[in-house]
Amino acid sequence: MKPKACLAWLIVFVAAAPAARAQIPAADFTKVTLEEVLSIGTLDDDTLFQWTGMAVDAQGAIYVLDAMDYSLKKFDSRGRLIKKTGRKGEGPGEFRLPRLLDCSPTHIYTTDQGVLDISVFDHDLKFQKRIRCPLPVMHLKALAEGKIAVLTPGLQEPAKIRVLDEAGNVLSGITYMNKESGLLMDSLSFAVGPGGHFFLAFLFQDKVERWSADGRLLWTRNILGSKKTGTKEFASKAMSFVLPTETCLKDIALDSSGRAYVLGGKLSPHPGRDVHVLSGDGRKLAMFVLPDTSHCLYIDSRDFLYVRANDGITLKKYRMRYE
Amino acid sequence: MRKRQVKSVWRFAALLALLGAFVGIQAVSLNAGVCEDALWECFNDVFVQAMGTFGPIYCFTGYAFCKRYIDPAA
Repeated sequence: MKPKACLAWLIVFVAAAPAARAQIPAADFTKVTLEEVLSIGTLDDDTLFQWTGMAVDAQGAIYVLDAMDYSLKKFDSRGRLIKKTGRKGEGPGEFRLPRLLDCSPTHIYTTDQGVLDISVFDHDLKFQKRIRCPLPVMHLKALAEGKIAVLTPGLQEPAKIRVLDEAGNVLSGITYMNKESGLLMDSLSFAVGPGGHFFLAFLFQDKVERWSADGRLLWTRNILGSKKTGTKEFASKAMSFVLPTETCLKDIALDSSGRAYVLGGKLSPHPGRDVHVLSGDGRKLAMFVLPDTSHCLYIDSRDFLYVRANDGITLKKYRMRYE
Repeated sequence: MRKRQVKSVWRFAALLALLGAFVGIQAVSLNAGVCEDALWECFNDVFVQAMGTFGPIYCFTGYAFCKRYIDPAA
């Protein structure tokens, strides 16, 4: 290569390098603005229909579960569909009600509401195996060394977050509340931060908590002014129960600095759009509003934010800017 | 049928699937209460009733996901 060409490539590389990662300030900030950097799926194409779960690997490849065509899709970092797998069914590599997805450096983990087990794929979307799970998985995160953390519900016993090994054996777990609070009041999303700490955001309670890996509660915070969900009684001749009806906090994600981003639900001022940012020790730092409603938040290893748009037809990727 | 129309029909069908309940289209509207309606249909489904103690967990899990996915519409 000619020296001039080399110099030109060097300039391009140096200029592009800072843009490869969202810039998270070390100090606190009070304002976050979003810059859209990628949009996958539109009303006029067949890229995505109704995506439910997604994750991003260290190379920037994006994995998405689509509930409507029963598929697992892989996009490159520029949003081009690389591969697609899956079909309707309950067999290996098939989906009935695909829900959650997360990825480790080696594997993709998916859940299906109609199938108890966790399905494991490699990064080329080849089905590998199923991990046995005794109850439906309500939330899932991939951990290091092939471990996964899952939230499983219980009717007679409290819900638990369990850490499983590759074979599905329970290694540890935390019981974060008792069952006396009411049906589904223990529903939550969680993220796993530094030191294996768990950050919990409750679906039907205005409550964010941080727990140590060995099950000690470190702090708890209200971020919606302690609003309480409405309830509705369901009654028939055979049964009667009361369920919460309004969501408080829909999802939680952590950036590379350990800050927590919590998506507000129906009781937040902008339902499904408010993102509340907390420091690692639970202080409120900022709040920003997504352009469209989402059911989840995802922050990749480069601190880009991914959310839903168009009711699940579109996946948006944003660079977060801090002031 | 144009792509956009196809997508709209498929999206509605998918919404039903998202609820995780075996509901008929006539039982569901996209207005408030859609998750509650789907939950009730789920409990009354013969297949779910045959699932024993796992049946209620299946329905409650679907309800929670519906609320997370569809709120604030529901």
